Amino acid sequence: MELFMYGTATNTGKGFFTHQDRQDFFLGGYPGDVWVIGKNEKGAVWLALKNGVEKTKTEAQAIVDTEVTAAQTAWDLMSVEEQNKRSGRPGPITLP
Amino acid sequence: MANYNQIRGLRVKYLSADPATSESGQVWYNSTTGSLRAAGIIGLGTWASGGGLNSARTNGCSGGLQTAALYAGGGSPGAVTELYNGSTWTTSPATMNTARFNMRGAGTQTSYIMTGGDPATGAESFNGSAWSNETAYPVSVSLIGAAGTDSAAVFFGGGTPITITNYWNGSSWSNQSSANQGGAANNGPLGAGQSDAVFLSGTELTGLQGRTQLWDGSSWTTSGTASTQGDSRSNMGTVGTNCVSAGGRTPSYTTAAEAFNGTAWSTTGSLASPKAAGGGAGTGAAGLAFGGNSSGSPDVTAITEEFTEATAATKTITTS
Repeated sequence: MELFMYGTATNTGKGFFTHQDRQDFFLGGYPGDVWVIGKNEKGAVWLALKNGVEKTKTEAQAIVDTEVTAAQTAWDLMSVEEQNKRSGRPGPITLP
Repeated sequence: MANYNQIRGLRVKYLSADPATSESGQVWYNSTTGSLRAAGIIGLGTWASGGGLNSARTNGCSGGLQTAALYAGGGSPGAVTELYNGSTWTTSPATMNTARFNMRGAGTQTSYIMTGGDPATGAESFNGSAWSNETAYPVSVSLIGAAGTDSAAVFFGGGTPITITNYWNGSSWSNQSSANQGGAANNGPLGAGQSDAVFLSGTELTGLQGRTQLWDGSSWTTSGTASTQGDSRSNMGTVGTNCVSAGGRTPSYTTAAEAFNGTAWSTTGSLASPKAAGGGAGTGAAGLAFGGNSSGSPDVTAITEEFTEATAATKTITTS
């Protein structure tokens, strides 16, 4: 049984996800407005209500990879001084 | 194996509805819903989305409450000040006198003191509408820990590592004799101030991350170690017996969050999005984590998440 569904949705701030949402289903945010959502009815309804677009895991992972690669490229082009102001080179992310 | 009757001295009641009043730990069967119910179940705290920062950035100084927080400076470096009202961040017309990052402070949205960072000298206070230069901290320092108020704060530790402790009384600094563990502190005050502060090490020095020391007004004592061995976490807590530290770099960015009860750290609900080097504000019951670095492009985030501590509730007992 698949535990998660995947989608993209723009975080609109306050109310985008609530404490009750977090109790009703797993929710994890990733670069590229990718969300990993616990696969139950409430999770699916949440994605729909947020005007989200459901993705396959492969599609979602590709979006994240593109974002991470762009972030890594930007980091590599920074001066050492700028790099030292940040929390290290962005690392790869593997979606659950 | 002991059963409920042996443990509790009571049998599980067969009821058509949840009782109007119940004791913590009481268990019953609800025949209408067909569920086994228990009172006084305390889950994990949860994070909900809050209003996003207007300026995504890292390593500013932060403080205040969930409904009245501030985040100043940070970035590369900056002097911008933003104020949160519980739903929206507003950019204040007041900017810091010196653009800086990696500084720390303590106090409220309308009465706040900060010092250190890069540049590592100087201190500024904020009254809600303007920043004023204050007497410089006795030593150059960045990533210093802080707790308390603008008129009675304690500042401690710092990168390098620095092990001194100083009080701020609203106009001057006074050194306290007891040395602390030293090293970088995470972002956001932990503790009430000069007689109650929590130093959760977020130092970059291997092996010291997650170490905790408590200040009682005269000396530091070692306390429980956080299980997340990270740095650049977001702290929240106005008393040392109820604090939360969330996110950070482990070295990958994490969503992990832990609560401190004055003695030990325990896992609480995770952030939705991993981040590090953002701000923290509020209490252990109602906190905030905002801004910081993420793994996306750009690598800074404006996201705010609001923490609410778990409260005891009646819940259905399931096998999952």
